[in-house]
Amino acid sequence: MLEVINLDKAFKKKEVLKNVSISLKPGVYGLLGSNGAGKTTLIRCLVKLYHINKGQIQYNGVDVIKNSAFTENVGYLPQKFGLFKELTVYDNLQYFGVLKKIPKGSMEASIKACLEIVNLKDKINDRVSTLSGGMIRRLGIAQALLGEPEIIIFDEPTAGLDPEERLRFKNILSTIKENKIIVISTHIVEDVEACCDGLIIMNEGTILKEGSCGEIIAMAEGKVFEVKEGTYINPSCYIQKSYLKNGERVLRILSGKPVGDKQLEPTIEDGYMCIMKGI
Amino acid sequence: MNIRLLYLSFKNLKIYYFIPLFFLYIFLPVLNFGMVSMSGNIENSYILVFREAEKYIPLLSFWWITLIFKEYISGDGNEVLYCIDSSGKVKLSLIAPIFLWYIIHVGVLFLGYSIFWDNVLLEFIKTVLQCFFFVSLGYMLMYISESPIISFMLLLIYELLTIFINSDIANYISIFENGNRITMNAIATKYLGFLLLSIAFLVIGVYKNKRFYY
Repeated sequence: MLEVINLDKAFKKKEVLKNVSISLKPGVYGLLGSNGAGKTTLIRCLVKLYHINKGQIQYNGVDVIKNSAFTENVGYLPQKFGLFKELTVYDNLQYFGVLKKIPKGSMEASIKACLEIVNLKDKINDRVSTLSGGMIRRLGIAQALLGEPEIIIFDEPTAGLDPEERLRFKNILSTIKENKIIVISTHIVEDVEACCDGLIIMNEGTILKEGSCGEIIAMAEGKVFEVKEGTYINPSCYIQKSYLKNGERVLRILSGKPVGDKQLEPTIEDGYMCIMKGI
Repeated sequence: MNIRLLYLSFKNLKIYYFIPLFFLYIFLPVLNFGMVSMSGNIENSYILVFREAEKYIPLLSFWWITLIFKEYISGDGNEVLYCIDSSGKVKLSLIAPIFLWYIIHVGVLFLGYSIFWDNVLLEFIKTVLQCFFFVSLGYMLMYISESPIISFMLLLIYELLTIFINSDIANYISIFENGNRITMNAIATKYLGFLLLSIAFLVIGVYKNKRFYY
């Protein structure tokens, strides 16, 4: 189990993480929050990239700062990935394999297995610079999977990807998730809806809510309404979206008090927005 | 340091890997041959040959580091190189073998020089100290400026200032001999001072390297 206990992180006087506490068992977790919420900072603390000001991160009860082997157990895909573009796909992964201290004898098998998962086996001898953006992203995922780490952290893995590549990412995730702690940081709610067991919602450096998808959806229970455009709406309500229905434009509203006469079934996005907006 | 990592780092440089080797094994020998012809005999060309050598060899000691560390400092997703490497954030374990590999090549060139001139061992020691100074200063500057290219440009500016501007300050801060025959006394005084300065730059570089992601 990976536990973050009362974590504080500041850059000079700017507090970015404030008293963050979460515990993660094997499973897939979505780390949701708006831009600047502190997701990347939390992730960088988890992978020991950042020095923490206060608090502790423990893995299986051991402080990760004191555990030098911890990093060998972590796979990390940063927001942008595009290193060593003049190497072939194989050599590129070999570079990371050497850094991860994968034994020479099992290196080739390990690289091929990872390329198989991300569907890049046919590109093994191609230069990274010749791959498309989506393929480079998949190479980044392969890099994170090398060495079969127990903890895998993806920072905005689907940002800038087309729908097909996003679907492919979800398929990869379902292939690798067994017995692993996987954290996916994103601000795209629909990405986590399909594949996450739990959600962590962050805002301004604090954890607003931690729970299962069902628990997040329950936060919007009885708070989602549909009204025709032009109906008076209290300023405290939040317009989730506007769409055409039977030739009429209607609004999906989040409100703590009933609005109009049609209540809707909530989604994760509704739950997320209710938490973010304090509805 | 893993040799495989060094090999892959060099492989990623493609043709740019060969630039320092071109200077060491083709450009300088051809230039030196011209100087010997110009001077009339080998002994008279000594000053000219080593004055030219120190113009190129120390600066080029930072060439490979500049290109390899472009990935480590400004590459997309470079943070992964600082967190998955269990040897830690400090990248001296990569810089040291690159420096050593360069010095081996410089050694081969100076071995060639030793056939024609005496005092080459002292010239070699001087050159190694100059290279060490450039690498330490460059390492510190690249983690301060967060750009290996800016660091290389600053080293180039330092070299141009100290070689081509004839002023008291430029002479005082110059690590070059600018046409003087190197002596044991100069190694034990001037170059010992520069060695200590290089170590100080290295220590500051390690500190800035550690705090690159902090």
